[in-house]
Amino acid sequence: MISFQKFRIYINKCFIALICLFSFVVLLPFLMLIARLVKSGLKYICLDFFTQTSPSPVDAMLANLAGEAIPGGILNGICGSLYMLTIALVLTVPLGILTGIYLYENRGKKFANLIQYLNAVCYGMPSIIIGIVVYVSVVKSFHSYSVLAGGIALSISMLPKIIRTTRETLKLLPAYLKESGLALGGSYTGVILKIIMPAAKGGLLTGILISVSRALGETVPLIVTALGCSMINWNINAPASSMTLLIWDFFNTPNMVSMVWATSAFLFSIIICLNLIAKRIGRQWKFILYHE
Amino acid sequence: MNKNHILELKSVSISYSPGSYALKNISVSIKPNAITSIIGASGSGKSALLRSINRMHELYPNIRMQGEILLGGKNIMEMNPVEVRRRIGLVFQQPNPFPTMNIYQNVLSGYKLNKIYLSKSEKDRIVEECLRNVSLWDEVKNGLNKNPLSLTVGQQQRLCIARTLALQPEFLLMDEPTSTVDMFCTNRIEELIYRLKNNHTILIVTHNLAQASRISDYALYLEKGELIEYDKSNIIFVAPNDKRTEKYITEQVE
Repeated sequence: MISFQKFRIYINKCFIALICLFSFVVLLPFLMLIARLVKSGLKYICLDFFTQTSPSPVDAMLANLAGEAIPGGILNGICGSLYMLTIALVLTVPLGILTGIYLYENRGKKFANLIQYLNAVCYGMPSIIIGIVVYVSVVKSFHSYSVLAGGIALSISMLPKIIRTTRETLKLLPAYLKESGLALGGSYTGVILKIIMPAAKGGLLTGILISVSRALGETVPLIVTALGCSMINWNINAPASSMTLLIWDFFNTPNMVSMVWATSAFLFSIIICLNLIAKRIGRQWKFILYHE
Repeated sequence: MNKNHILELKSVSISYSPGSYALKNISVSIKPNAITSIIGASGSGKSALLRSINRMHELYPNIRMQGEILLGGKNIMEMNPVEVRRRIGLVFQQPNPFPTMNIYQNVLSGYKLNKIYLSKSEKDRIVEECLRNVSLWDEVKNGLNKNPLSLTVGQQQRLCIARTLALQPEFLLMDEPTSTVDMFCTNRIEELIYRLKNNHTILIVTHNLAQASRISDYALYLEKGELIEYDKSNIIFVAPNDKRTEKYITEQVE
């Protein structure tokens, strides 16, 4: 009997050790990634990095030969990313939230189920397909790679995420909110706008921030829509760069390794910050809603 | 007596699915400025009856209602649901203050939802009056901007009653308003309900027969969706005319 009990304790210890080991194995690549980005990227990040546009290959080559730091920065990429994200958010947020409300309010109905299904399919859509579709429909018809096309591509990749977040957030809200709003004589629209939306705000914001952080990392659809540009461009109908496009350009140009690392480290830190902010907002939101 | 303050049900039936009725052919005229309690076992249709009076049953598309509910002689199904719900307030079983509004805003939430704009002084007056009316003012007057969920359950329920009263409804429907609060709070809410009958007609669903007999002037006994007896409380609880009412009350008291 005693030996059986010892055996159980032994098995238990093995199991715990295994769990710890696997957790560490999962964490390892992530830690290595951060270490590499910090080690190779941080040292090139200086003020010029944020205030100048990307260097030409010739400048980079000359700087490398002279053993100096590469002149220039990624301002064109930052501006391009912000510009395209703004377009994407303006297009996606109202549409996504309204669709999410529709899906939640009409759950179980045929048409809503169909949209729900299509949304789930789009959620996992390979981003190159989004890029190609936007290329054919926007770039071809406007005869130019453009910020607009890039923004539309980003918005298509964000839309399913925002729709899903809205629906999931509304599901989390206490069911009594709507009933008690209506019982006070509120109209349907009034209850949605004044009771449900404020209560859902934190959850929606979390979802939007997370999809923004995903969109910041989109590269493939932008290659075929926004193309990239070595200058800052505010013309909506002309090509522009983004941070991810710059990383791709730097990667394909000789002598620019340091820029690849620096841009990656910067982009990565923005994404981590966005996720942390999203998490914090999410926690505060749950506290307001359930007071726990 | 003001004709508008008369609530009448004419052969009201409610079904959740074809053929199965939650309420069968209920006809009753609710006495104004009095407390009427609706009693009966679980599943007898008490809540269905209460909710149909301010058209809350419409939120569930599979529920069908037949018959007429007349508010001041007008069929409520032909009125604007928003107006019906403004004139007939509903207090739920679970206290349900709006978590994104503070206490002050919660009391005024009905006005906000109905797009009625008030001056600051009017708002202050309504909030104080309503919170005093539910005896909550002294407990919260120094923290009107606090989250309502920081209050005790009993206080939250009184806040919800205040929120409903703020719109000055003629009728007040209460769905087991004291089932989630402790004895002390129950007493306070009962006192409050008793006081409110001067200005409101109150319908209260309760499982607690002692409570029903303490506060109500009239009682209405439902069994399996049928109206068995509707009379003065002192008759229903002391010497009911129908055997079934007598059986239910005796069983509950024992």
